[in-house]
This record gives sequence, structure tokens and C-alpha cells, in this order.
Amino acid sequence: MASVPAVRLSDLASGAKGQVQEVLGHPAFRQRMLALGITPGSPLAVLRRLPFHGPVEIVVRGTRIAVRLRDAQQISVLLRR
Amino acid sequence: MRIALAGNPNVGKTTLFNALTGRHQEVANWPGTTVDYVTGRMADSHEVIDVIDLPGTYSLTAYSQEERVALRFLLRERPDVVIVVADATSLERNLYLVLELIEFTPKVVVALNMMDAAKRQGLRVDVQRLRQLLGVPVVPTIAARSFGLSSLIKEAKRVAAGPAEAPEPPVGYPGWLRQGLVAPLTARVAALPEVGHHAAKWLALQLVQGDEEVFRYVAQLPGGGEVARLAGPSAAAAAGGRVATFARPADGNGVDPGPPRPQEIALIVADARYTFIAEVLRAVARRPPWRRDQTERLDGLFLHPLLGYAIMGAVFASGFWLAFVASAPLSARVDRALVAAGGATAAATSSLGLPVAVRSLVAQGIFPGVGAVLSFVPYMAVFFVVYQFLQDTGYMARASVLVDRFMERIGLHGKGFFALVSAYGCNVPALSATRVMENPRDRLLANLVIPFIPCNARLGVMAVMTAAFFPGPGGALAMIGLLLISVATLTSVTWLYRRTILPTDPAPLVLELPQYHWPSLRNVLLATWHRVWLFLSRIWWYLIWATLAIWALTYFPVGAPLAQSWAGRLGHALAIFGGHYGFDWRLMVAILFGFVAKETTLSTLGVLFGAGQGYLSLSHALTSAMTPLVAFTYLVVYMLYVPCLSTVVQMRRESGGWGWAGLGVAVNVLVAFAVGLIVERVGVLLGFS
Repeated sequence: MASVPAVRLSDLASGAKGQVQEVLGHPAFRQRMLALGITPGSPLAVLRRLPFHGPVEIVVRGTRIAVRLRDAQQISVLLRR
Repeated sequence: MRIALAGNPNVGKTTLFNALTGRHQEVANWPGTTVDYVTGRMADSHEVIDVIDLPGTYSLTAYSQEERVALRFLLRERPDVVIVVADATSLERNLYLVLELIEFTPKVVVALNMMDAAKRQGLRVDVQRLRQLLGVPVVPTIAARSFGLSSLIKEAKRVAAGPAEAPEPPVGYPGWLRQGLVAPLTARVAALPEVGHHAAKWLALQLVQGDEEVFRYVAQLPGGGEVARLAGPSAAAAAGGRVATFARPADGNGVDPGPPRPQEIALIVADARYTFIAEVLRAVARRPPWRRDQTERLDGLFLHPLLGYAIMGAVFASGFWLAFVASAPLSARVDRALVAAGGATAAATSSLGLPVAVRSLVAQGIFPGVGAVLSFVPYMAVFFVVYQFLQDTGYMARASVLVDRFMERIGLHGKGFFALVSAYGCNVPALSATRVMENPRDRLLANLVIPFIPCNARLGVMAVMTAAFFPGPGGALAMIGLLLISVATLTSVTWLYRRTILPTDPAPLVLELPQYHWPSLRNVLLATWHRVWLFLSRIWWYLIWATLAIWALTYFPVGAPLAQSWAGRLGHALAIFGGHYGFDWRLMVAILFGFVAKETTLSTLGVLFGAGQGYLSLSHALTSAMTPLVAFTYLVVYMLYVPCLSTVVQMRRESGGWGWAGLGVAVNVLVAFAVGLIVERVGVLLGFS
């Protein structure tokens, strides 16, 4: 997966898999992500996207988490091929 | 001996707590916050053990109010031992808090909970090996079946009595961080009073990560101010010089990366912990290949783009039906019982030869007033059973995710949806239901706007009056109009609060979607009992005074007709203002008295308008005294103005003080009369009368 470009989590379709590259945004947001185990390198899978541009449901470190689409833009993901 | 229970949310911590302490529990409110915590007592042949159920937290770094309370308790109260409850099925994330606690105190016991669920998933954990790697006792438990509790307590006692300094915490941080940054600071922190060497290391590690809560704690210790400043949240600048001397090794290109910023350190620390966790899991856990489990299958249904919303509608509708319709006979019975008790007491007191005033106070004042409020205890009880059930099963998190997008539009939060909808039943439990929101500002906002939602009692008054003034389909239209006005008011006021004093917090909405599981009856009932008890223990004092005041206003001067009583005079004074709306003194008195309990409004109106018993006579009396426009305006004001006494008391409790509750009430009154004025003027312009 050498030269695969990073994608924003908000752009991923359900079923996509990859690993977290970077978490941007407000410090409080990043701290929260850290505590939930969303750190650079952690594997992540998109379980589903809620309708009407609702939250994205992901599974990371064995836990299901819903992230608002706007917040998901702050998380970049390296896709697994 | 004191044991604190810590753990992530949804790991069965409260189930464990209930299994340990049974019914010997007390709810307390953490000073200065709206966070409750429960303490319980365990009977043991040797000693008394107090157990404290700390709020659920993902980490020791305080992010939410709950986490701050948990951290504050651990820092300042120093329990003898901390039992950290970890979900065996989600070890990777749960071990994070375990590691933090091991770094924080040497007195840790891990309860590896939900071992049955782990087994069902085919997950095997080598407990002995885990114990070796972590360096602290690990006890497998199944809290829901009280399995493993006695060995857990045995280990806890052993650890509490053991030596203060345990072996080194297991996580290996980079050398430049450990020796360069943390070690010198640890020495300074350890020299402060009441901080041991073990905790000092953790405190130092938190300080260099810019943890504000730890900063505040260290700064308030004697001599701690200087130490905290050395590495506080603004440490990047303050400690710049010192940090630079211990800077990280240069990167691959030979460029000195410069002093690390607290946020970078936080990332490095979290990374080191998760790396360690990954190693541990490789050694102790064998997980079968991931497969579609039951939770995934259910989510396919409950989070389905179409079906999901239909199911949510059905679930909520049946929940509210149970809470507000099925419980109605129970409420009526409580009300009747108290009125009857009032009559009986009056009869009994008359034979004792007490003055008439006292008898009237008892029979017409205290008993009916108290009855009106107590009659919604059945509502509350059933409501909380439903609420706790939905919460514990894991369904509430799904519903929050489904509606979050719409709630976000009006500046609120998916987690607040249930509270808002349930407010149409009763505002009081709805205010408590806002607690699921972890952000205090979101919670406060929901608390301030919920009173604009007309509850069961207000809806009842509205239904009777619209039916009287707008017969036929007009009544339905008027009712829909009123509800639209309430929704429009709610959204605009929320918008205003967001633009002024309560801007959206930059903190994110992150919702964990736990595994579905069947909740234990004990958990649901205990939680319900705590909430109802908290409400009753707070309301009675206000209730007595309010009913006393209302009785006195109508009773004095003795023997005067209602129009000349104190209440009548007050009504006449208020009518000067009410005249702008076409409200006479009787309507103003009814608005005022509705404050104790909105349920009483219809009977108050009946008495004031001299109507006999029954709906027809009341509606006749009302229609002959008011025009439809005045009646509609009255309902708008009535629907939006100050909620009842119970709501205000609850608002004070949930918002954390009289200040916010006072503001909420003031905004309610202002908005109600402002919207009422607009409705009245527009009505006149459109040619209604």
C-alpha cells in the first residue's frame, strides 16, 4: 500500500477498510479520538453511513463508533487495497 | 475500606456495583456539578466496605464532566483500591483505561467482565498471562450472574492491605520522554505534600501532555503552583528551554524537530500504550475471525435507512404509551387517594376542635396540591423504566444516531432527541433524560428549551379549550397551529441561545454503539428508584410552601368572595397587564396558580368562572367570557410560559444552579408573552375577534 493516497473518512463508502493516517481539528476533538483508540496507524472499517448525510459508523479497535460527517472530514485514512 | 469502581461506559460496571451492594445504596451529587454518583455499602463478616460507582470514562484525561468527576475523585479522595471493570469482548479499548489506572495508582484490581459473552464469541483470554503482563490481579467476572465477585473482593482486600509501591507500570515510553521530560518533573511533583512517588510519575506524564485538570490539581497543592507552571498546559512556551535540552533525536533528514508540543506528546503516549496493548493481546487473547454477529444483524434492521426510522417510531410510540397512557389510571388513583385522605384528615381534625382555617388548609390546600404533584410520580416511574431499558439494551444509542442529523440542524444533539420527544409527556423526567449528553453546554441548552414543549397536562388544557372554542375540524386546526407555534418557538429560541450565550462546543459528537444485550431487571429498577427518589426528596419542601401560598391567597381575607380575596386582588392587578391581550383577572389567576401543577388549571378555571362540575358547564362558562381570539392567545401564552414548579426545581438541579434556572424561567415568561402579543396583533389584523 505504498503510494495509495489518503482519503477523508467522510468520503468513504460503507465496507471500506484502511488505517488512520492523521486526525486534525480542535484539540478537544483529537483528544477524544485518542481516548477512543483512533490513533495514527489504527485499523478502521466503515460499517455504514447513515442516511441524510448523517453520521458514519466505523469499527475501530473492536468498538463501534458513530462520528458526525463534519467530524469525519478531520480524519484521513489510508485505504487498504 | 473504600473501593472505587472505574471503567468504560457500557462494560457492566453498574451491574457489578448493584451485585456487590444490593439495595444498600445512596445517590449523591458531586459538588459543583450535575453529575451523580452512587455509593453503596457491602456487608462483610470482617469489615464495612464502601463502594463508589464512578461515572463511566474512556480515559483518565478529563474530557466530559463525568470524566472530570471520576478523575477528581481518584485524585482527591484516594480510595484504598480501584477496581477497574473491563469488557472482555472489547479488551483492546478497555485496556487503555486499565493501563492509565495502573500508572496512576499501585492499588488496582482488574475485573475482566462479560466473560460469558466473550466465550459465546469464541474469544479466549489467558487470564494468568494477562495478570503477569499487567502486573496487577485480574479476576474474570460475569456481573449479571454474580459470578467471580467473591474472588474479586478477596483480591481487592489483599491489594488494599499490600505494600504501597507496586512494580513499575508496564508501558515503555520513548527514552527522551521518560528520562528527559517526565523524570525531572516527577521528582518535583513527588516532593509535594500528599503525592506519592507512584502517582507523581503519572501526574508528571499528564502535565507534559497539557492535562488541564491535573494542572489545576497540582497547582492547588502547597508549593504546587510553581511545579505546575513548569509544565502546565501552556508548557510549550514556559518549558521550552528545558524541553529543548532533552529534545527528541533528530529525524531521518538530520533536522532537529524542536521541542515537542503537549499535543504531540499526548499522541506519542497514546501510541505507546496502544502498541503495548497490541503486544499484550497477541500474547493473551485468541480471537476467532470476525463474523457478522447478532449485534450486526440487529443493526442491519435498526439502522436501516427506511426500516430504522419506522422501527424507531414504533419503539418510541409504545414506550411513551406505556409511560404516559398506561400509567394514567395509577396517577389518577394517587390523586384520588390524596384528596380522600385530605377529606378524612379534615373530618378528623374537626372532631379535635381545630380552627376552620386549619381544616381548610389541610383539606383544600395541602392534600390536593401535594396530590397534583405526586400524581405524576407513576408517570415518572414508568418513564424511567422505559428509558433505562432502552438505554441498557443499547437501542438508545442507535436512535440517537438515526436522528442526529436533524437535531444538529436545530443546534441540538442526537442524544437529546428522546428527551425532547418525551417532554410532550412530562417535562420533569425529560430534563433528567438530557443527562445522556456528555457535553455540559449541550445539556444546559436542552434544559433551557425543553420547558417550551407542552407536556401532557398542558396539552390536556389546550385540548379542552380548543374543543370549546373551535368546534368541529376547527379544533384540530387550532391544536395543530398551537403545536406548530411551540415547535417554531423552540427552534428559534435554541438558535438564539446558540448565537449568544451557548455557542456550539467544538467538541465532537462521538457515540459508541455498544453490543445489544438484555438488561437486568435489578439495574433498571434501581436506576428508576434513584431518579424518583431524587425528585421527591427535592420537591417536597417547595411543594409545601407553594400549596400553602395558594391556599392562603384564596382563603384570606376570611369569608370574602373569590374576586375580593388576595388572589382576586392580585389577579386584578395583573389584569392591567393582561388587558393588552384581553385576559381578565380570572385568566391571570389561573396562569399564576398553574405554576404549582398544570393539571390543576382546568379546575381553577372552573372555580373562577363559577362553573359547575363537568366539561359542558366549564366550556359554556369559558365561551361566554372570552372571544375565540382571546382564547387562542391565552393558550399560546399558557403553552409557552413558565412550566410548573416541579419542572423549575428539576431545571435548577439539572442545570446546576438557580442562575440558569432563573434565566430559563425569565426567558420562558418573556417569550410566552411576546409570542402571545404577536399572535393577538396578527389575529386582529386578519380580522379575527
